[in-house]
Amino acid sequence: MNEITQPINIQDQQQAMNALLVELKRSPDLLQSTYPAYSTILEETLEHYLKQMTGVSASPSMESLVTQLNDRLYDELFCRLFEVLRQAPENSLEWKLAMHELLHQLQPLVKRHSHPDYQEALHRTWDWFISRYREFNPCSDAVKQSLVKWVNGYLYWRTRDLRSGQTVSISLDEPIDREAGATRLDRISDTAWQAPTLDGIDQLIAQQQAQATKRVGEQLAQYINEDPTGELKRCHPRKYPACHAQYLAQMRLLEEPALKFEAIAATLNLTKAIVHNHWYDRCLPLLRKIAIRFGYQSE
Amino acid sequence: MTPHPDSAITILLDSQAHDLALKFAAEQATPQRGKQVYLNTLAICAVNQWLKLLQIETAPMQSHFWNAGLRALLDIADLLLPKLGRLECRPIRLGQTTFATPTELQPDLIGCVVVQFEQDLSYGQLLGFVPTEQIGLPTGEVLEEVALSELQPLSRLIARLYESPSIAAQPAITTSRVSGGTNYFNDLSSTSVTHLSQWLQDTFSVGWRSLESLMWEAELSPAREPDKKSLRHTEKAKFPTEPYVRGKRLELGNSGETEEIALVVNLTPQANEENEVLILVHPLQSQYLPAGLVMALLDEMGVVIAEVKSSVKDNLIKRTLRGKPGERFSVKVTLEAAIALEHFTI
Repeated sequence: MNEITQPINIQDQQQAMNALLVELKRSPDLLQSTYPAYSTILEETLEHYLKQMTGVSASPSMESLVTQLNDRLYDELFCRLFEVLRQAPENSLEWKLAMHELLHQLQPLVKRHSHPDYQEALHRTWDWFISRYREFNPCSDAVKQSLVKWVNGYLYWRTRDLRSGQTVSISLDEPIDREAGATRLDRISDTAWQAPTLDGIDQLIAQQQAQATKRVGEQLAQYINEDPTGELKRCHPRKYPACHAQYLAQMRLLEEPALKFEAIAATLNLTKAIVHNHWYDRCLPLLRKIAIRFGYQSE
Repeated sequence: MTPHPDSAITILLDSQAHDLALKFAAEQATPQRGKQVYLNTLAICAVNQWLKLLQIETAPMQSHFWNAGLRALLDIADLLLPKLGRLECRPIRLGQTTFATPTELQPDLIGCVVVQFEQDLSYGQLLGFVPTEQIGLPTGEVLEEVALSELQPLSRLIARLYESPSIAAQPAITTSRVSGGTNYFNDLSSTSVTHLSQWLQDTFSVGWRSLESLMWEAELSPAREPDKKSLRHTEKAKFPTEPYVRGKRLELGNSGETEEIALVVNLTPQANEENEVLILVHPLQSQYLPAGLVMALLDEMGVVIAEVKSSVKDNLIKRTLRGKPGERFSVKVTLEAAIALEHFTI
């Protein structure tokens, strides 16, 4: 009797596991990644996990199953990424893909604060992470947990340093941006700074524009509207004199919002292709030269 | 909508980025244009910051955007990656489902990286990228906007940078245009490969134009000597007239002077599945090529297989090669320290 019933039970169980596997893979909450090795990690982790579950009578809910699996997937993925980052040269494609993936996965896990110095502290944390990632030891049972703790720990202390005006183990004169010549000291003096909002920049820009005496944008607009040498009006397809560079520049570059080729073509009673090709082939190179000339003059 | 949540990355923007954005915005003619330039600047800073984290070299100050006239007139936000090409950083606001393409597509443009901004401008989110060939179509049409659903993951962009032949130990392309004492940009480092077989289907990639349109442009050039005979009148006699002929404008800059030349390629299919490729270099601004200009043909390993040098009063130099579809070669044009490099697949 046993010989007959046992295979049927295994088959049933196998079918149930396969159904669960399909359902798990479809779950939008399961960890997603475009990292090339991730599909293998996912398959292996799922297989391993489901094997462990075989024979366990109490089946967990889908939600808790995904949570447990995600922890394992994070661990496996982070282990793989650190392995690559330690072994591959920093100028290799492998290293760059691994670092991008690590930053991408780690960012949402890092603690957020409403502290005004949080941004600066986070800046420093990523600078530090890029230069010190080799010091992290991923050989533990809970890689994700220990990595997040490691990064959050550094972030916490940098927030504390900034709050108390102290800096620990970082030189104030240390350059953070060689090109701009900025040092950490520049940033610290800046900690009260708050980024403007998308709506708030309108007023800032209007104020600054009002203060500027010589605006290259205005000069260029004036040049296009006046066309003092006639070079813009002369630039047109042989048969269509109305389709000249001045008109197209006014419609494409000065009008707000810019007119689309179709709309411009309709005003000229021409096809879109005539306007489009004339714009790219002749108008843009000419306008580019004018713009560069004005750009140099303004510097 | 976040098209690629499995690839997007958030970049913090500090006061330096905002100060620069405000400075550039203040130069603009209108508040609307000022806001566009402000967001373009932040988008460049965000992409630049991301590439720095990945230790990929950038040269923002050598980008076209750094010229005050170009950033005022054109809606561009380019970032130069030395030896690799150029990225356009396109800002969008939360809720947008499309992004506007830049006013112009440079020949060395790798693609557009889309940066999303919310009300809080202390950060920007890099959503993904669209390669140039999806914006400048083979038909020659340039799309004015692209749906965010077309975005590819940023990891694909990183991989693409490594597909470029110029990353594999090509000599450094150091051409820079110097004018008015300002170190200007390098727009000759072309990374895209031109697929000549597509020409047989009448599809030509961005930058490769009919000889007629190239000559029109040359005639408009203020640098062109007015007393010279019109190029349009002489072109027919000198250039091949087969249907699969196209030209590309190249600029070679040395010590404040820029030489504009046309690289002309003519493809002629042969009976034995091979194609004959005629490559010639012609001046665009004057009647003759500058003496000492060298055109070299390189095989796919970068080894020189043929070389020709212009003498005094040469009005063109040319070489012909034959190859089977799929074979790769490059053309290197050198004038003193300036180099232009173009890659082809037959």
